[in-house]
Amino acid sequence: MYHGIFSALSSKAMVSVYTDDPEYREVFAASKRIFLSKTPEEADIILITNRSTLRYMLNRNKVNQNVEKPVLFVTNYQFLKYSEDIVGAFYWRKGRSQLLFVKKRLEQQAIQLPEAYHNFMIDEL
Amino acid sequence: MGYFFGQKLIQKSLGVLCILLSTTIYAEDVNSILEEYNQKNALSQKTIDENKGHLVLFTREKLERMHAKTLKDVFKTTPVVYYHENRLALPDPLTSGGIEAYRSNFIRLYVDGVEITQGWMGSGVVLYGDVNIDFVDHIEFYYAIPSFESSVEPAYLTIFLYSKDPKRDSGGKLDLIGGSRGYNSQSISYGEQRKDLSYMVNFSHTDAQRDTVDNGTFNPLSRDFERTQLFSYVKNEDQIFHLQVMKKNTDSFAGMSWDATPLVSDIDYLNVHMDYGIDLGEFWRAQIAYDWLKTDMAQADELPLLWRDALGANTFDGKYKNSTYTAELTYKETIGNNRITAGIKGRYKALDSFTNYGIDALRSPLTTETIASVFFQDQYALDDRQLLTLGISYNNISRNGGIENDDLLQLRLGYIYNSDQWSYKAYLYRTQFSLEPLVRYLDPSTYQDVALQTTVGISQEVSYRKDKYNFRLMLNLFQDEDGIVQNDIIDPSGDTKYFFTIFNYDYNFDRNNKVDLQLYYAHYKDIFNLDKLEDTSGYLSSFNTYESFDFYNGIVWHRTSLDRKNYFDLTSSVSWNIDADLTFTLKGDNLLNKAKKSDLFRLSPLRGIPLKPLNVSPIDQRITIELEYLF
Repeated sequence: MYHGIFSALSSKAMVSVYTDDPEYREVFAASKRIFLSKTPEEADIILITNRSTLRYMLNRNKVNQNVEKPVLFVTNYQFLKYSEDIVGAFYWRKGRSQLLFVKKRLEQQAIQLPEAYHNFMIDEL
Repeated sequence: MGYFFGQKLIQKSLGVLCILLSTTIYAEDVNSILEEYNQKNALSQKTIDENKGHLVLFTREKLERMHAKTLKDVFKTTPVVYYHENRLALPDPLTSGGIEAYRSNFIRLYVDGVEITQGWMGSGVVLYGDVNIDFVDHIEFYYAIPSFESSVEPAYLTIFLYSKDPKRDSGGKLDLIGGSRGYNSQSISYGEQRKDLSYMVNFSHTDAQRDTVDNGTFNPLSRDFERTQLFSYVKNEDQIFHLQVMKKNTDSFAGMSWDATPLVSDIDYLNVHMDYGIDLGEFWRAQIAYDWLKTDMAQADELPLLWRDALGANTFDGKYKNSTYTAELTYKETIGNNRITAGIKGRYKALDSFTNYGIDALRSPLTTETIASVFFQDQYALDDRQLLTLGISYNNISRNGGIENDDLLQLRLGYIYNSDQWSYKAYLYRTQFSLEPLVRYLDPSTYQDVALQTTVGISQEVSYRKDKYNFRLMLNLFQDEDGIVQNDIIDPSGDTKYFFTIFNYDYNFDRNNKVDLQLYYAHYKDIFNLDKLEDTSGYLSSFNTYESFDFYNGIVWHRTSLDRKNYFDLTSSVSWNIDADLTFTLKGDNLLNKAKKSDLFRLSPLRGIPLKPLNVSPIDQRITIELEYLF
């Protein structure tokens, strides 16, 4: 699932992903198609699963204004509402998996999703 | 190290699914992949262990779409053993409606893998049988004898409630419900996943105004209750601590009146549960738990009460306090194709105090019961699809006050086959049960020496799963020897034979539209003073979504040989998802007012002869509106 989402967000064949969540790190480390990055600087995409990392990554983005920023993707709907820097979320709502991208934010970061994902885009939150 | 089938069965959902599904993302529509993700996630929850027994699973999605707010909403739909209440209006699925002790101690209840017990007063089902489940992610009912890994005391139905994990449910939720007769309920939850720990808190209050039952007097029987409940935990990677508090003030229905015409019938409960678990390295786990219960009984009748501690008086103002301490140490290791689990467990139940009208009235020499158990289990993988399992457990139960001690021996042998589509499992059991301490305490002369109940049985299950549908057939045959809850006056051997078969068929039209069918037949020989009892029943439910509206319709059908009547409990709901955070729901329970009724037996206290029983349903007819806000 995540490989599909990350490939859609990045044009690279081998997507480099950073997360500090130990469970996800274990999963991505076993994947042949996701490269697990050791630091956020080296990553194309950052997967955020907790609030403290969310704050840290947003602050980091503000400080490093001129550096190329990785795409931020979250596992919580509230996080998606928290900042316009986040392009999408894969989360659970009432026991059902939900996938959501914010079109305006994707456009701001010049990301074009494959057509299969267009049903999961909303204009803005 | 060889492959191990058990490890494949007890998988962490996240890891498996991500890898499994990553290969198909472009091949299919994303919607169907999400649905497949939902299904596989539900079936690969790390809590679900094929070797625990025969599972009836209520996934989070199902609970949400049923709008199940209490365990009762779920338990009323389960096959063979389903929700019922006794003469105190307490959840007691195995009650016969007679004047009898609590019968459902064979049903054990766990929250996050830790047993909730009322100790001296019985199984956790006493209070948690209709617990508010806003803190719950999913519920597992395991039929027949569960694996010894989880049980301290023997059981033949085990209910596991698993709480929401902030990993999937961070943030808050406010839930407000108002309904018929002034029924109202409020619940607020908050959970957060931090870098090194996560926590969750749920606080709920329910004021349940229920149907009254006419008993031929000017005081119809009332079973209203007010419940305030706290559930909380904090955990990190290898430790977890739970704190649960429940205060439940009840109108105790027929109470202690022989003819179900009490003048006063109130019982208030205050219950605290705490537990702490820690992984000690790779193989060892330790767990301790403490349960405390205060029971305040206020009872009055025109004639002497049936409760023995009332000593023949017609009024009773008793307060009981009891504590239960549980500790366990388990060891798990995979050696080659063997997955070994072994452990020791101990439980100490104490009746701390009993006062009547504020005066110490604890005269019984029997005030404590100690259970020590040791178990060993091996799951041997024949290959990557077949598993043999062997379990043995020995329990020693000792009591003070010169009451007999008991030794219980339990055996469990099983075979499991699992392929992508087919699965089969079969178990042979031999288990033993001893009489609960409360019954012995109330009548020590009669229950000084009580033979152990020995139950032997065989169970089988076959299931087939394809993309959109799933079917399952379960067959169980059991025999109790020296049954410890004897209703059989004519032949008091306590020998009961029972057979039941359960058929399930689930069909998913798509991600939003599903239908589930469950039919079962149960046949009992020598039970409840009857030579034969047959129960043929079912449950049909459908879940539908249209744009921002969700619909649920579920009908529970019951028919038994007791009265050969058909009973139908129809529950329907429609939810309007106003936005991602706000949902409004209209729900009706028992809409036809034809839910199953059964007899509550009465005796004339003067002449000792049976009176006309009251015909009572534990399910109220109720309309509710609900507002749910996520933040």
